[in-house]
Amino acid sequence: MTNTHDFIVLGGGPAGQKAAIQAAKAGRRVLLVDREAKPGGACVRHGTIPSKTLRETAMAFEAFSRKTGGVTDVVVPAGVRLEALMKRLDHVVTGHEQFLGAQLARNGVELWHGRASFVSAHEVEVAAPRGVRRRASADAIVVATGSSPRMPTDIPIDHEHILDSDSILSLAWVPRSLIVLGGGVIASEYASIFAALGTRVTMVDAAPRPLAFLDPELVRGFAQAFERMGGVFLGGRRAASVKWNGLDAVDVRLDDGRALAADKLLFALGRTANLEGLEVGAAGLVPGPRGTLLVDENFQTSVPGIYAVGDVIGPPALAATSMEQGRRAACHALGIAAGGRGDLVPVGVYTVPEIGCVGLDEAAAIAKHGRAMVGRARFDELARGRIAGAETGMLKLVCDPEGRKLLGVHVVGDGATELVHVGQMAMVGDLDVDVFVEQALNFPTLAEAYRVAALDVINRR
Amino acid sequence: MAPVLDPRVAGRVEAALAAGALEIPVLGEAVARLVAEAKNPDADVRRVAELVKRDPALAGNLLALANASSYAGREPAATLQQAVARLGTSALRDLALVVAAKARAFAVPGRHAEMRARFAAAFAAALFAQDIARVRRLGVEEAFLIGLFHDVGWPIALQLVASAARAEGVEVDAAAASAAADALHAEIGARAVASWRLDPAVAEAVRWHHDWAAGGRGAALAALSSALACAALAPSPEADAAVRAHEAREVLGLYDDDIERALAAGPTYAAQAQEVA
Repeated sequence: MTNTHDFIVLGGGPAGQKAAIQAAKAGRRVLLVDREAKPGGACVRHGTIPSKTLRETAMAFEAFSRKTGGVTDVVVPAGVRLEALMKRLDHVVTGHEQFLGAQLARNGVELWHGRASFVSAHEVEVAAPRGVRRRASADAIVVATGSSPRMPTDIPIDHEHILDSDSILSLAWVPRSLIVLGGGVIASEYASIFAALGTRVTMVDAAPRPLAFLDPELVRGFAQAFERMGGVFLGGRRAASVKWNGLDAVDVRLDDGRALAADKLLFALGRTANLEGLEVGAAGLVPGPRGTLLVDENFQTSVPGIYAVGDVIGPPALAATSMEQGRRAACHALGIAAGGRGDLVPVGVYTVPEIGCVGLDEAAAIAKHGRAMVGRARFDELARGRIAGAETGMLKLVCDPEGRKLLGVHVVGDGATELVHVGQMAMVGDLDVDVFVEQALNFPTLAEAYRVAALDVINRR
Repeated sequence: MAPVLDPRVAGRVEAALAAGALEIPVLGEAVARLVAEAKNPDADVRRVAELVKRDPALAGNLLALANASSYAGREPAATLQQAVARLGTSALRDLALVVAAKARAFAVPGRHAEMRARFAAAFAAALFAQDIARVRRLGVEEAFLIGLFHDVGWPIALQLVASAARAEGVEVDAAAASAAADALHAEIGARAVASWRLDPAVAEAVRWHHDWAAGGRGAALAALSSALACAALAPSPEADAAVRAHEAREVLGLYDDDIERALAAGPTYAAQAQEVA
């Protein structure tokens, strides 16, 4: 049987897009299937783009007093509509969708709107919303169907009072108080965004600290800033019961007996890979114990020719990582050299303040090399940091035991997700840490933190 | 041939629309304040109950509605304060809007049965819209109002035509008035919703619900909820088929299983809507 296409991608989020574009640029006949009318995935509709748009507003409120030296307080007025704080959202989403659509069209990627299910390892059936079914086949299929918030059986999520990360931004009003169950990226991002908007936020998580996968020094910076905004983190606890009281509050009882109440609750404890209806068994795939698809270092599943990328394979489930996974999977499937360093994908956590890191953290560097040499720069020691009223902010360079080669860069504070790329490029170029001292950097800038931290390393040699 | 409105009446209606001088029914001061109060996170039960008590007709109808099966708790609410306490300000706002819409908008002399049917359809559409919003993670509160008010312009348009006919001293054929309402109700409904100071997104959904391809997801939500309400209140294989074939599903991203679940809720929502109407 002749295949209808060379390359099929299931899911049009960041991972799927990049896989499709990579294959199309290699001259393959590419089909992209998405359950929504316009590709973009949760990234565009519920996740990255909407939450970052709200965050931009929240950061402006948070930064106003700080950056103007407290000359006046600017607070979010009571009863303001959440939508009013995301005025640009339609423009941002439409622009992003148009850009994606144009990019896919320009590269000749065929788009089908529908839900896919495997018929065999090389054939899928796609059902459109109104039931029309058609089939497509290819030698290479990339599964990039993303993930959805986990639906707990013991917490009555009604998307009105008790919400998940897909429905939190459909809230009509900025709540006065919010309980966030969870301590991961999504929980921490929303907790700090709402805290910056003046909401009284309480985070509850079983782990002793939020963002447990990150360098503890960065997390400390985040936690201090969160507390300064009035946020409270209750670690080492779980919610024993959650219910909307039917009138004016969500009541939560913790496993230590403590009672909490808030206008709204965000449940952000885990996500589930979107495999429902995909009939992966028909392709010979068996999900792993966590319900995700298992892949090798090239993102190929146990079935040759079937790849899986993005949230559907589990953590880190960040947009940038997913994009790179998609690109690399396509390259491997098509026998193209991927180039670059796959181990140097940066992590951006869009909390307030934000966090950016790349490479090894201090603990991982010590585990790998026996020792590590670390240099730090605090933003409040930098001219630009003092000018901007940076109360939180730190850049940490993790180097090899000799203090020469850069192994990792970790930043918390204003511009962290951008700043980290400077260090990433130095690592890609295999440059010694001295480069930050030997090259002039603009003054005053936060990038000067690289020079200060590099000097800290050099002084320790 | 389609019934045509007397040109003088049509001219007067068009002039009123162009001048923005529509006679839009007021919902009443208590309802208006309740709408405002629902935006206030510090609203307290006692103050809200006092507000409603100032309008005895509203208070009586609200209490009855609060005890209708759609909203009733295990124990009936004996007092307004109990109803407020059980429902919360936001749900009470919705109920007050339901009561006010029924009493003041869906009230056209001589067309009682038709208005009752249209109001039942509006209420059922509100329930369906809420469900769809939950599935697609759209705003649940907004969705209820989009469903409830998507056709509110229809009775208002009829009143407008009747008023223009009186002013011109002419009789208007009922079919011609209905045809005019068909043509004008989306715009008039949007203006009414805006004048009641509800969410602008609700007004936009109402304005575009017959041209939902241009109006976005709110308008598509109104259109599909309306079709579901029709299928629930006048069940037939044709009505179900119309829902299944509805193109708004594409905009909303609703697949066959989503639609079958919605259709299955039809008898329940139809019963609730009939009770409220």
